[in-house]
Amino acid sequence: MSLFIDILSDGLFAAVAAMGFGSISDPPLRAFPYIAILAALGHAARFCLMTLCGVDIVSASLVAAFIIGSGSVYFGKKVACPMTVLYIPALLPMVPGTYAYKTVFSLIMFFQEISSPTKGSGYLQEMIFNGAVSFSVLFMLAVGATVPVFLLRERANSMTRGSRFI
Amino acid sequence: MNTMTDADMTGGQVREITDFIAKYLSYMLGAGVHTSRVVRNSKRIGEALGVDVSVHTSQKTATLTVKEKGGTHMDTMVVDIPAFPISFEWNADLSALSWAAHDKAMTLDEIRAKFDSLVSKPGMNPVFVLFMVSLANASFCRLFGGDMLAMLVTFTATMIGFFTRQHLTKKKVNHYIVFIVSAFVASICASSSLALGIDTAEIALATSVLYLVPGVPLINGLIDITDGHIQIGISRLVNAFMLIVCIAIGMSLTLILVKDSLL
Amino acid sequence: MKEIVWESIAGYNAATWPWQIALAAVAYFLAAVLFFRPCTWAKIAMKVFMVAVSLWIAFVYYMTFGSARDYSNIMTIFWCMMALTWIYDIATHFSSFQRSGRFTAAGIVILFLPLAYPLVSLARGMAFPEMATLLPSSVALFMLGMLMTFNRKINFFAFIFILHWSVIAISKIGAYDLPEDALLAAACIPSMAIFFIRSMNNLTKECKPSIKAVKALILSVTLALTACMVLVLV
Repeated sequence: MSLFIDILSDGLFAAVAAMGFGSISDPPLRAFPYIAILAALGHAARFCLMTLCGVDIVSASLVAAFIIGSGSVYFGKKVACPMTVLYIPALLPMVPGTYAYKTVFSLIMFFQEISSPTKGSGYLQEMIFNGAVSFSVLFMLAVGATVPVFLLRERANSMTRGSRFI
Repeated sequence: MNTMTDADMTGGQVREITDFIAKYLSYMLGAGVHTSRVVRNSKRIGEALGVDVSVHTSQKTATLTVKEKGGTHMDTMVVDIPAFPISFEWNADLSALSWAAHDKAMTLDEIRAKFDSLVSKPGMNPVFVLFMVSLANASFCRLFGGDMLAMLVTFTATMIGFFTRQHLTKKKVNHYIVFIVSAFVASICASSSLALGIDTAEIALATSVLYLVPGVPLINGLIDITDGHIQIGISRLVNAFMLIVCIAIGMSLTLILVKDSLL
Repeated sequence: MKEIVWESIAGYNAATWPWQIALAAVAYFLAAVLFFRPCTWAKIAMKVFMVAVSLWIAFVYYMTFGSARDYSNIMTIFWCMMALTWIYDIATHFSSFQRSGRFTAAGIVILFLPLAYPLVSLARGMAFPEMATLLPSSVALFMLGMLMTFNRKINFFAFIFILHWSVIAISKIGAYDLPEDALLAAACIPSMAIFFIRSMNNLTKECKPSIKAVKALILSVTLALTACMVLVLV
């Protein structure tokens, strides 16, 4: 039961985060509910994969991004928005923020401890570790979401055809 | 000269079409639409107006050649890409416009009128964005495992940072400086949570700058690369990377100031 | 931690009480001038006073007397930023310190709330010098009162910093046994709704979500913040 609540709240907060970060980029108002649904689905899927199945963060992000990308093919036609309008905001909550932060932090600490070989190299190692994770996750997010575009090229490229919103 | 028929255009008409398509694609590129979509849409509008369009894009300018289908008139133009804020609304609407032009056989004047009405739609309310972004960052803090107090601190720290960003952007300050200053302000405010003695203060500090991460150019760059527009994809990535470096600089200032508290 | 904090407050009060009284006198004198006879010199003087009092908190309260406390350097930096917002205000004439005719009564009440700090302490059975006086929160509260009374065009930077401070103050209520700080949060959260909703009314151009929707968002965020703060307290 508590696991269920965890998954639900994970999806809920991811949805709020996606709508918020998305609003910086001026999406059409009609897209907001679908951005929220996609973000919640994707993030909750990643949460489940990581906690229940023990999948690593990189592969889990790839799967979640694929779910978001496929969902945006379906919803995109509905609200006549190009897929990117829906999936880019939905991907934003999965950007690996803490890893990126730790990369910067270790870099700074490496400079501070540059004269001490043991401590300095420890921080350097940490920086490479965190940097590798954050870059891979970011790359997988983009790749996972674009795969549906390649699979369904015709449909993916005619999302806005016959839009009744202009 | 070929024989004049109804279908033939004059040089002036080709020039007008070129002018419009140049404006159309510069607006789309300026608003952060990925390249293959812009090229596809421009060609589609060209198709509707009876011309062939070829486009070459780079980061700050685009070149296009418009050639009359089956005729001899052609026109080439280099346009500057204006730096608009990213707009998904334009992305959706202008794409829909290209399909409407294609399917409904609109004339150039009709397309142009529609275009003008679409790009002058009202933008986002800045206060709305301010609250949404602060909420988003607070939820983000929760996703990373922050507790209630860390969420509250992240909320107000983000509000300060984002308000600074909006204000400086309105004052037309260089955007690298905007990013450094807002990252610094937000992270220094979040770092005050260290003094509260909560366990998750570092999460608040880490999350407080994430509203600045240029997620859209990053993903657009990768999409461009996978679509084969490798040059512009790389330039977008480099651009986004520069902004990330700016965030890192702003946050490093904070970290250096408070680092004794973090160890 | 709690003992260190109260010791530092006692030392601060014992050493600087004449200065504190002088600062408070200047504050209320300038506020009275602005209220009854608004003029440019009083406006500038008030902003300079805001800078001075922020720096006072940063350097006298935190750096000198609070140096035994953990992380006092961060608080010093924070209050220097607060001073910066007012310096920026002086430089760009960001706020006008003019009354708008609305919420003046609420503003005056908030303006006098800092005086309640020592009274609450006395009521709790504390004795000088170990009592709440010219503390960061009471300074923040005075600034908030000024913004609320003279709210035609306010310094939003300073306001959001005060809002941030109220969040920090909430956590201090339990940690340092300082219930006086609840006054700041109680005044700050409704002010947030008032200021932002009022700023909606002088939007120059049409914007996307309707004004009504934005106001609803502001109100619900206000409620959510209140709920979070109450949850943190209990």
